[in-house]
Amino acid sequence: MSLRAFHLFFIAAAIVMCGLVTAWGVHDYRHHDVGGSLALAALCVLLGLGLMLYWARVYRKFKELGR
Amino acid sequence: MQIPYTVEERPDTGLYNAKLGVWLFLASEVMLFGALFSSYVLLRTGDPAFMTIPHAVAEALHLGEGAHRWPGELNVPLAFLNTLVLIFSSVTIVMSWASLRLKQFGKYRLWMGLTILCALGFMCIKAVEYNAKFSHGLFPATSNFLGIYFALTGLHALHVIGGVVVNGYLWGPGAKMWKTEPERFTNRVEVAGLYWHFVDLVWIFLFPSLYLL
Repeated sequence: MSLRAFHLFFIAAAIVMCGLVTAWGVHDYRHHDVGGSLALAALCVLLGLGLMLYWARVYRKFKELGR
Repeated sequence: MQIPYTVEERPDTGLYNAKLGVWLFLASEVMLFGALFSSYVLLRTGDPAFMTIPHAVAEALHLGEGAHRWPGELNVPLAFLNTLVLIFSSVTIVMSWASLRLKQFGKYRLWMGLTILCALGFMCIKAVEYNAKFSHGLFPATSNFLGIYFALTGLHALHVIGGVVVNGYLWGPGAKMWKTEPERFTNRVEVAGLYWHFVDLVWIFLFPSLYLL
């Protein structure tokens, strides 16, 4: 596996992690009413969306870079 | 005598020497972290008291009456900040490698320098976190959970230090190779990038499983 493939895999894993942390934040807020958890969930939504956009962009760039 | 396959790929593996070597090394690393991670899962599922904060520790932390559980007392905001730092550093190391592919050595220096700064930033944040634990009397011997927590995060921190040493060498004295063998140097940076991504990926697993769940 090349660095580009590993980078795309890593970013995909980070997106999945953002989803899990968002779910945890919302769950923690509902059960313990901690505002910080909701803030973390909101941050993770933003980070996840940003990483999705980055993934699509870098995928195109890697194709342009060639072998 | 020329060493074969330092730049071109070996026909049977499709890899150059360094890349084959780093993947074998990373396979051994998966086993190392996998063993510790399995220990954590087995202890957590097998011992009902594993996640319970000992009464004496709860008193020392002024947690009040009632049962308290890990990882409630770990610092989630700092760990999340460290996650952001490592994700950003994975981007910067790819940018440094891409800069070499585009023959832009100045940009390589910039991006690799940023990667090293991110790694040092990660270590500073980790030091703040550890210091807070120690000042509250929380040590690896305090509870089984903290034993696993310090073993996993400490081992990960050692890998970050290893990354700083390798990336620092490629940023500084090792960069001389760019003048004589640019393709081989680019391959070295790619291999360092693979290692760095592995270290980042380990943290992506550690953060939710140790700090949140």
